[in-house]
Amino acid sequence: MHPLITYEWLYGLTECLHIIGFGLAVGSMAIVDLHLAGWGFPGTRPEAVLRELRPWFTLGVVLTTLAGLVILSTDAGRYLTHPVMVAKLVIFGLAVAFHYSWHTRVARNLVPPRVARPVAGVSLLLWTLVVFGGIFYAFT
Amino acid sequence: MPPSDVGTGLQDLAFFTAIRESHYVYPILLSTHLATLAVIGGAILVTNLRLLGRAFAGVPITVLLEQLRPWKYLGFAVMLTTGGLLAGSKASEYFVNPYFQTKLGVLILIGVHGVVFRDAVYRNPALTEAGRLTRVAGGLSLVLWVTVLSLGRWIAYFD
Repeated sequence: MHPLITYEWLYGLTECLHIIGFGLAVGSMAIVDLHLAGWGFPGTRPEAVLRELRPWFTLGVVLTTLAGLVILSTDAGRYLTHPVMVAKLVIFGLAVAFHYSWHTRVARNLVPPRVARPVAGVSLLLWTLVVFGGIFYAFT
Repeated sequence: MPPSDVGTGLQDLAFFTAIRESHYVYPILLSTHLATLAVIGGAILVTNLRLLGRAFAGVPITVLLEQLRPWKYLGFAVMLTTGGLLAGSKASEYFVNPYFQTKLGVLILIGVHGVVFRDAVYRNPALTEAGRLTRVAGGLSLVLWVTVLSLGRWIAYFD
């Protein structure tokens, strides 16, 4: 028997860590994206915001991934064959990869809004889809 | 009237019945609730890190508070709306759920926190640097919000 099934509170605790990690990761990126898009943050440069929030983003990604893997290990067969979960994991991978590539590059260089806005939009969209994937997995 | 009866009466309203019985509305509301958590969580994280003196040292506290305030209000409004609809559609279960009750209690504490520190921290135009008072406010706020988030998750574990 998997320990998380035996001890339900441990399962709940892991899910809390998963959500705290996701809050740190997606929350910090949402702030970077809102800066990038130029919505409501006059005078603060996205590059400075990224520098401050990057460690929290990385911490959040590591925490949510580790907790997520522990949850996944309780029933890996079901998780990995479920189309919504597979889509969520792929989009999560894309979102992380997008962040460490174009997203970072755009945030670091002072690019015009016509470039920064779509990049911020793609980032926000990817993260939102990951969240929807996580919930819809449980409902389908 | 016991809370479970109030809950049953509320969730039997046609509007909440429609939400509960729809295949997609409930998960869409829940996903929106969680996605918004990220925005409001990000704004609160940044605020509290600044109040604790852990990030954005170059940005005066008042400027940071001003810039983040609209996003917090917007996020909170979406959280309350989606959360209210979710709870209303399953009111008879939620109202008697001790984790839900505790979550509401902690949310009230967050309101009290905002009022207590309003003049000294959150609406203090002279505040630029982190000090002992801002650290207390930021630390308390972090603990309260992490508690709310955890209790939200724990609602699903009561049966």
